[in-house]
Amino acid sequence: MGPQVSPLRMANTHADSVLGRDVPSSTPRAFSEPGRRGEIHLLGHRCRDCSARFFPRRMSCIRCFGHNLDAVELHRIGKVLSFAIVRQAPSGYFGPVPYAIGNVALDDGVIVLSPLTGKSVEAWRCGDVVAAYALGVPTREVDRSVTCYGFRPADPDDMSGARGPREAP
Amino acid sequence: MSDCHVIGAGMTRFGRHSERSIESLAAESIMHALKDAEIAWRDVQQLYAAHVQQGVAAGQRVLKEIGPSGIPVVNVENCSAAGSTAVREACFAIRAGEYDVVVIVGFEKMEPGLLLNVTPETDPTVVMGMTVLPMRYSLMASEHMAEFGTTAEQFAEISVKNHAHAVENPYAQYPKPLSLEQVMSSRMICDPITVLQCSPVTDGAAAVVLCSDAYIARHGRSRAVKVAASALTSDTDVLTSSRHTVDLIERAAREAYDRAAVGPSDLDVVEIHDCFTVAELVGYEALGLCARGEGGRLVDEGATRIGGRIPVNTGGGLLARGHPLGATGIAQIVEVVTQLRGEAGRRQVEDANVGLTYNAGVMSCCVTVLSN
Repeated sequence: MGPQVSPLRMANTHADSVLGRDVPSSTPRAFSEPGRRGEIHLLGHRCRDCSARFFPRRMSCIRCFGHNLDAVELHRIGKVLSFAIVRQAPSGYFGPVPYAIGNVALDDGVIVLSPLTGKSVEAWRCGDVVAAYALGVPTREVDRSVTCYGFRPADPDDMSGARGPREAP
Repeated sequence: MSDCHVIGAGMTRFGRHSERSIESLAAESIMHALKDAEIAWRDVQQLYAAHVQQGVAAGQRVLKEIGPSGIPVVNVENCSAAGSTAVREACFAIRAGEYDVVVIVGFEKMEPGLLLNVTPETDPTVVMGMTVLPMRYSLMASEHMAEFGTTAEQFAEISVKNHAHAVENPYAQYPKPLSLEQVMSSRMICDPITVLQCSPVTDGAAAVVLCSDAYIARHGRSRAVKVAASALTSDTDVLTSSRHTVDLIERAAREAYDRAAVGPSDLDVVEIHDCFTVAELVGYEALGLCARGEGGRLVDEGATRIGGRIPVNTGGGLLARGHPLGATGIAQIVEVVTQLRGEAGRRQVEDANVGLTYNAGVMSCCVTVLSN
């Protein structure tokens, strides 16, 4: 339906200052420190009371509205549930056009809306297996990009290194 | 508790009104509705003003234009569902016995560009390209096509149908027929949604006069249409994935059907919030006009055309009548009231006695049932 209005904080970058945001330092980071190949885990919440997992992190559980929440690294492998090929860029977006956005169902059940990269937009299909990576995204300022998250087709390294959630650092 | 009755309905022509002020458009639609109700502005006890991006206290500015009678003015913002949300609020006031006659006006003058990018540019989801509205419906389409084999043509046919309906609506922005070829070959915005499957940029206003049982008993109104139910829901998931959007509509529909004691098979005419063609097809299923996955078949059967089993968007819908955000929910009600009164001229649905409007906002949904 509408846009998500979430105070996401991108990890380990100057994203907030580049975007001109004044985000309180307590705003939770969206993903873990990128690995050698740029691989990341999105950082979500797991509810101690009802076991719901969700992303991004909120003050309350999205299912039971409780506050006993643990930060967890979410699975970085998932399947494309649905995708959109956007051919007319909205204002505020400075990346290549066309581009693909998808709902990714992670292996632990969390559904994440995310850019899809790493192959031609025409080649995406529902059910494609993907993995989470850090993604450089251009901004209004020509030489400054911000590091956000995205999903790419999962390669053998992703599959062998797949691991479940653990407590976030 | 009093029932609520629509005794007046009116609207401006929808389109581009660059030479007109928003206040004059809103006041014009109110004047049409008052004339239709055969009442004077001085009889109105409260004004609800539904709008999204018309500035602070826009309703009070409209009051100055129509007549500064000093009555309470309530501004209602609920994204594109503002209009029907305001009608629901007005029904509460009448049912509570506080007022006998109220007016609800919806109005909007829109900026050109992709529909409603409301997230501030400083949100990282904006630079990630995830806040563009047609994308949401494109996601739903891709899921529907993969799961049920729905085709791009079936979505496009909805735009062809709604434009054909608009030809007979003197208030429509685009009263021109379109061929399937024209719709399919127009510029691609977000697969499979082409530009002729997106609601246009529109200015306009629509208004209804609502009254109580007591008012009808005193003054009589043979053309009154009852508001049988009004239900409003919001999202239950932060993600608003495709399935949750359907759930949002289903919950509103279920509540409205229960309150009005009707089911989908009782409906004679339906208005669906077709901001994009995909939204109308998904709406067929969520409202129970057909089973889940059968939306494409409903299109193929022509069931939702005037003359079909359950005509949808008989005035052209958002796609062809136009979509001035705050006015849309009221314009949907104006269309159903016109149909239930049998006053829709060449686009009249035979024997229309029960109608429904489904008006969507960002992460909310309002369903209204109207009956003779």
